[in-house]
Amino acid sequence: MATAATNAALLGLSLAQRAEVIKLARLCHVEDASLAWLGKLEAPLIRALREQATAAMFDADRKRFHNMATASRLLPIPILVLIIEKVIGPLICARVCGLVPASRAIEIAEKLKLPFLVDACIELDPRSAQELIAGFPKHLIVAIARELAHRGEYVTMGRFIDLIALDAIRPVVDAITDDARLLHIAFFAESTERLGDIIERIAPARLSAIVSHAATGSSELWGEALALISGVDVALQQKLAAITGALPESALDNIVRNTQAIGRWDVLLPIVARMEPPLQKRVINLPVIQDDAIFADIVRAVFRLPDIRPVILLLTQLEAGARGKLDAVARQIGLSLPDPALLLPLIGDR
Amino acid sequence: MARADSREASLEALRSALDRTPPAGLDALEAAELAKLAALMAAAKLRQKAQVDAALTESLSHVPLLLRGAVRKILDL
Repeated sequence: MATAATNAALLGLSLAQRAEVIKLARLCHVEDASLAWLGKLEAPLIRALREQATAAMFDADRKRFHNMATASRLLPIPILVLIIEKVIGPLICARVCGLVPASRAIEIAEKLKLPFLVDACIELDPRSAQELIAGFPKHLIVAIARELAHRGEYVTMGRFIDLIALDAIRPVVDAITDDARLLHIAFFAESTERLGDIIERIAPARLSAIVSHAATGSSELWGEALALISGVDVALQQKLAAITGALPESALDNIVRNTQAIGRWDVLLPIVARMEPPLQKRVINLPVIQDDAIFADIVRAVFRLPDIRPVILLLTQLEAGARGKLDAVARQIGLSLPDPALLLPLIGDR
Repeated sequence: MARADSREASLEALRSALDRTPPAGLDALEAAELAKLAALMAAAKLRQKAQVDAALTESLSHVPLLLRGAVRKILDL
């Protein structure tokens, strides 16, 4: 995964930008940190550039591979498998397989050795292999996913999450026993809708374990968890927020320190605002939060939010002494939080 | 004027590297950054092509000598 230098270079980027910059860097085979300057662009634009680059890179040789795909139809599968493994190699195999009828490609894939198949998956253009991936048998998807996770190919896995059959998600999640790896994969997922599909299919105990693992881990891992929680729909956000808010205080302290380290109060505060009031009160009044530097960053984050109202309401849960301190810190940095009483009529559902 | 020209040249280089009109909204990038982006994309495309060519050439070395001409033709090598 990313080095400390990469983390530092990409720190100023939003979580979505960071994921997109890393994906583009992997596509172009350059260091992640060398593209930090692309943080001037919003994440969807970086993604659009990556999609265009992918098309330019993969479409250039399409005619050649079409010819190969056509020629391959003349050979019986056992001989083809031998040629693919001994002669063709994983790169060319990956480029051709999306051009072969999916049923035949699956029949071939089932006979290829797993390490070869995984090498080919890394090189695959998911655009041209959608039908193929969707039709892959479950046991093969699980075996490939386990090996890709073992190799740390999280960007590749993020690309495929969208494409695998829904009923394969649970076995894949069960096969990847390392919670951190699941979070790395989720961080690079292409579609937040699919993330919701995945979370809904994770057993409650495992989901709690994943959140707990993220909460007690590194700031990088917590950043990935934040991206995941903030990316899913409101109902799932509430579910994940409730799990987070109920964690032991030591884990919440770690969350506070890591959120401060990555400068992402603008992401965490709206998630805390989705908790039930008793949990909101618990989290926002943690002694570790009552620090001038943290309060200053919280105030600055409030003014970066597209909708400040839920967070302003959340801050009313601060106990009187802490609220006074927060207001004093806000004044010191030349900001003033709006009076919640004025906003209350405008505040709708949490 | 020169600045606008250099920006236009960088955009053209990017267009050529991507084989299509780049997505709208790249105004946030300076001309030098656009040039850097174009170079990045062009290098990635070249790298990919070199990798594919090398893999195809390597594959060809396993094909019997007599058949190589025909296979080369199929593969457009």
